[in-house]
Amino acid sequence: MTDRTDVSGPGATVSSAGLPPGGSRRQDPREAGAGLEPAHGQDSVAFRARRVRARVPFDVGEHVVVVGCGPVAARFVDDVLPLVERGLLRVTVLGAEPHMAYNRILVGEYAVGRVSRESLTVADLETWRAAGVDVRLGAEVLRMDRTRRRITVRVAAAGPGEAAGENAQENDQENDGASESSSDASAGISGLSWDRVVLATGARAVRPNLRGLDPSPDGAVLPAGVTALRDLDDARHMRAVVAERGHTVVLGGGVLGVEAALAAAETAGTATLVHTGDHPLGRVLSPGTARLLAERLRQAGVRCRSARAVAVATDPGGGFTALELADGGSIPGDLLVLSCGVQARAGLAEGAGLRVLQGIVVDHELQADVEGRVFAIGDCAEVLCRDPGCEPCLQRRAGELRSAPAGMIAPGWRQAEYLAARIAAEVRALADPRLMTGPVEPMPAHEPSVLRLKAKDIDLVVLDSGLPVAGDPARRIRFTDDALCQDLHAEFADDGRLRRAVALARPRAMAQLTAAVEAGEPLRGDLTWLLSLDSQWAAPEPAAAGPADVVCRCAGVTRGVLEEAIDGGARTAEAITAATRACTGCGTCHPEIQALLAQRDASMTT
Amino acid sequence: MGVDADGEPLFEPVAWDDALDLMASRFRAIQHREGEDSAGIFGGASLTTERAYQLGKFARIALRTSRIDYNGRFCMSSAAGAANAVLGTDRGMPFPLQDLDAAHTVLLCGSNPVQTMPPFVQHLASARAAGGLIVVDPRRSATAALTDDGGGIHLAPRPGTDLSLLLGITHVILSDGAADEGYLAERTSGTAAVRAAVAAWWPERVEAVTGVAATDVVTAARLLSRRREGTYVLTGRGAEQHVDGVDTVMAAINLALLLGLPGRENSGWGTLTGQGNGQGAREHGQKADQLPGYRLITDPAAREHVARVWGVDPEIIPGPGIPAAELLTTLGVPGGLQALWVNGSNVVVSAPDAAEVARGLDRLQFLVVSDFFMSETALHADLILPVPQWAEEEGTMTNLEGRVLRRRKIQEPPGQARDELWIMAELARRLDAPGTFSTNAAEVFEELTRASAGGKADYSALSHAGLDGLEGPAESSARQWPVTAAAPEGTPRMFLERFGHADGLAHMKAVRPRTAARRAELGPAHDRGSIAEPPVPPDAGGPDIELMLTTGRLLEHYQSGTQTRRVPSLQAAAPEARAHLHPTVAARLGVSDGDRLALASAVGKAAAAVAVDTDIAPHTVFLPFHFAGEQTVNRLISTVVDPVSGMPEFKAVRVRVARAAPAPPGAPGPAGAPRIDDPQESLT
Repeated sequence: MTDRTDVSGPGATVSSAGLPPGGSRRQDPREAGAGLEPAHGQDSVAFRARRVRARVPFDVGEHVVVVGCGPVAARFVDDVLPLVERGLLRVTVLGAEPHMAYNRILVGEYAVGRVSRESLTVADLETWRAAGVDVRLGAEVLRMDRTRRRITVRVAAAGPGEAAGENAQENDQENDGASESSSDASAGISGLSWDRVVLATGARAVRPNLRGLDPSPDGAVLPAGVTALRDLDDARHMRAVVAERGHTVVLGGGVLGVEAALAAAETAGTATLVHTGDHPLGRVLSPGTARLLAERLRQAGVRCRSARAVAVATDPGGGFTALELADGGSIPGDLLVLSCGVQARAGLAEGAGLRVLQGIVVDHELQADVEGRVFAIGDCAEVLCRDPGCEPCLQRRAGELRSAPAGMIAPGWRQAEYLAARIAAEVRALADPRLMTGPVEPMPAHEPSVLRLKAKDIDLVVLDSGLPVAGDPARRIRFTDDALCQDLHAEFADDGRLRRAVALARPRAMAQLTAAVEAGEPLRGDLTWLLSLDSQWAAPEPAAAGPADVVCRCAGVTRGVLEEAIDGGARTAEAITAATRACTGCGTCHPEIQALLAQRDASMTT
Repeated sequence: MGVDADGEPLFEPVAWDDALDLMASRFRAIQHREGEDSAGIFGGASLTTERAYQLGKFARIALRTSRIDYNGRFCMSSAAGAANAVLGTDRGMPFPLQDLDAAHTVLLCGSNPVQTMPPFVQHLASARAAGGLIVVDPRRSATAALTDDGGGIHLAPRPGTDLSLLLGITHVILSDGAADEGYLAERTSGTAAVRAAVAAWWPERVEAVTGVAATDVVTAARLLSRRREGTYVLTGRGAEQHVDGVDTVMAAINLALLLGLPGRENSGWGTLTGQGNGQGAREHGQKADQLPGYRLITDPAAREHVARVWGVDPEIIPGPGIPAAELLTTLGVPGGLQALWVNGSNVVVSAPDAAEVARGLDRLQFLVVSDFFMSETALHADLILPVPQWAEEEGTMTNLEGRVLRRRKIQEPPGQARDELWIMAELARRLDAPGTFSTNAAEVFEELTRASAGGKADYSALSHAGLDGLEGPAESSARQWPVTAAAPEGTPRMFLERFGHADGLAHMKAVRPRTAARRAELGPAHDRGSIAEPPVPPDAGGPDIELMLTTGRLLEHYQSGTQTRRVPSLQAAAPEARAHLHPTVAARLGVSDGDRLALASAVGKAAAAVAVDTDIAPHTVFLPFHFAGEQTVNRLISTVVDPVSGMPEFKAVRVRVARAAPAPPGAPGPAGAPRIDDPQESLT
């Protein structure tokens, strides 16, 4: 801990290294090359060295508290389980919801009965507990004290099953007492010591400013019949409405809104999607593609309405009756699904003095603080480093590079996997110096984003390699069919790597493009093979059987050779076999030989 | 051994007595100097079960070495590892092949039987007729083409992503609520963890990893959950020959278990064994960690039992050795093998990092090769022992269904070829080995059945005479193990009441593609990512690109080609290794059919003729593994292996390819093993 001169105190961020956004060190993006590797200028190297020296190294048996028990937290815990099993790390998971981690990505599909509840759970409590992980569900973290490294938790009243009951008891560790906790039994509030914290608190739904809706994000409950479709309770609510073929109104024309409307329409027959702009997904699609998508939505029973909502109308009992629009119109319905985006749950970090912008600000090693004691992963995190040589982050600051759209799971999982690997490398090397592998490289500054619509009959993907844009694409391909509402376009860099692409209703081409982006693989040459993958044309008639066709695969005997044998006097299958060796192997060709004999006989007799 | 004027090795005939004296004295001297484990045996799955058994016994009590393993490690070992872990017993197909004749849905994951096992294909007819043949293969293989015209569906994942694809199919089955909950509760354990692992693999995510459209993943899942009776899941080398091959097969078995298929009539999981005696050769002690009857060499009770049959003290049986790929990395290195006896295996062609294996063989102090042809491996030997081939010896083999079949001698071996049983008996005598080494296959089999009694692969109620006395078509003239006093007719369908574990349950294990932390935990020896980037081929004569190499078989050839490359009609039909490239790739490389292609991976280089092929994806290149010399594709394969099975990564290897530069006139041919020009040449 020698190099602390550039740190102004606990909870502060590195000050001297950070340059103002768009500072003078900005490079021309073209000079940054293809840009996968951060440009390592001298400043950049010095910056990295300072960051590394400021860190507190791990010790064996440290206590890591994971705040959150969603799919991203689950991935992290699964990956550090071997360390926990071997006593190299202690892990406590604090989940606010009373359930084990479940797959929020599929909540919408669960809401319309497309997937079973069981298929949502992404972690196995028994496996975790057997490995020695302390799992506390229904545990809300109130405060995080970074100076004393304590965390204050309120455990919900003991519920059934896996919820609070056993969690209230402290897990006696024979350790250094790092996790001794003080508790105020009456309030269910207890304290917990930690060595490291991993924040995986996720994001909450944004509540639009509408008359009749409490604007506070954590405020009172929504009116009956209004849901943000974020958790299992929301999903159950929606499930009940669509099962009765009630009418669902979805507010918000992003991917989640479109998916919710499609899901509702699939079960209930129709649904209404209220969006701004000309068409749903107008912000990520070109006008042409958006129009084709809108047509497909219409065919699927989704009524799209471009309007601004102003109020939620309720009945005397406070239940939703209609969404009122700025143009004076009103859309009645049985359920209003709010799909107006998400915002990071960053209150805990903010209260602990960590830097929060769109989310908890972390560097490419997912550190939220200078010491490397607090990390953030998933939807609650925002990657934005202060490395003066990191072109993508400079571009992000300047608003020139879009951050990956929120609400997608893949980036969060990549982060969880990276963080687990980073910690594992350090801790395993402590336990066995022979396993020293050197420092784990930071995550790449560019991450591809895959925006994939999950819907029954509409295949849509929007791909972005995340590579910085430098000049016009070297290549564009475009295929559009207005009648069949199909669209495929892609832009490539001059090294053949895909920059971005959109595919609508060409599912197999789309799969190839997506996998190529994920693999960072170039696509070059004649690409019309992509179109052929989804083509519905009839296969050409197989050519008439000819003398060169192999009949007996084992012995490599062709039709011509067999015919010669027949013409030479072989009149039985046995005779043909004796003459040609056909059918001496597997015997599969026996029927064909018989048929050939019969055919030859027939032609000879006529 | 010397070399002739052209650098070809020279061998001279030697009398059997002298040869065996030499071998025994060299092995003894080397072991005396460098320890018992300095001598080893490399076996093969083409040996009869009697000879595979005897080889394991010979290693343990005549040579007293733990260093024995066999080429089945490169073949079925991942399926064996997964079946043992989940089902508790490994019998390739736990049901008769004919059961497939009533199937309506068959998932064939990584197998191309149209080319590799033509007789099997007739059993897919009913599934094709029902539109239920699902073929998973990165290539549109001849088998994948059977799914055309309503026969079913072909899923073409990127090489190395089979596991994700299987998890995706399983995910849909679970989301649809199509799992057989009653069966799971009654007959399995570990389902909760499996469900949790699978929950993260919804079809759209699988699509991004595998390149298989989400809609096709869903279609496959729906086909599989149509009706339990008549549904089968089969895996082959494509699923198994990966660094995560065991995990991949476990995912396939988990899928089958969730549908309630295994251990019931008219449904199940199985693996399509790859070699003639792939099953029998792995059951009776040829594997580094096993004793006869599929017993573990570390189990004191198993050692006790087998030692009693062998008439020796259990203490003298060595502990577990090391699996094949790793064993071959110890050739001639300090502390490794200094003397080796290779039996019916052509490791210079078939083993990973084949060029290094060839160098390793040359570092040995003494190499003995038993074969019936002059294989590329035999060319490296100090001593070559000619042995009979299949119609020239008595014995048994156990086929893919665990069916024990008699192999009968119909003619005397040519020249001076001698049976391995005789060779082992003679060597045992010279080595003053304890126990007996019969030269009679029926007697060896009788001993084997006693050694296997009480083990998983229990042959105790079988005998040559008994098998010879059975009449009728093949399926009734053979028995499927276990064959015991309690089940003298054998066991056509296994697990009907209980699985092989002590508690009778199938133990489902959660598997998922390895994340960075998991790979680090397993270490670089098991990490595909630890293999360096492929370099530009040294003899590149044009632009180069990186592709994913996947390897496999041709109809015309068998294994390392030692046998089939000598058959003129087969050699004429498929004379050389052809690298299958997508037309767009060929265009970018500037190559067309028949041009010479140079390939390089992190560990080696190879060459092949170009075959332009629309049935292969543009990111993949396919090469068959039957060819030798510079066309030895296994020179590109690294020794990174599956942590459980020791299976190398044969099916997803990063390579760089380019048009090969024309060789300068007068230059010597490309480096490689000497060519065998006379196709009829044999040792006798």
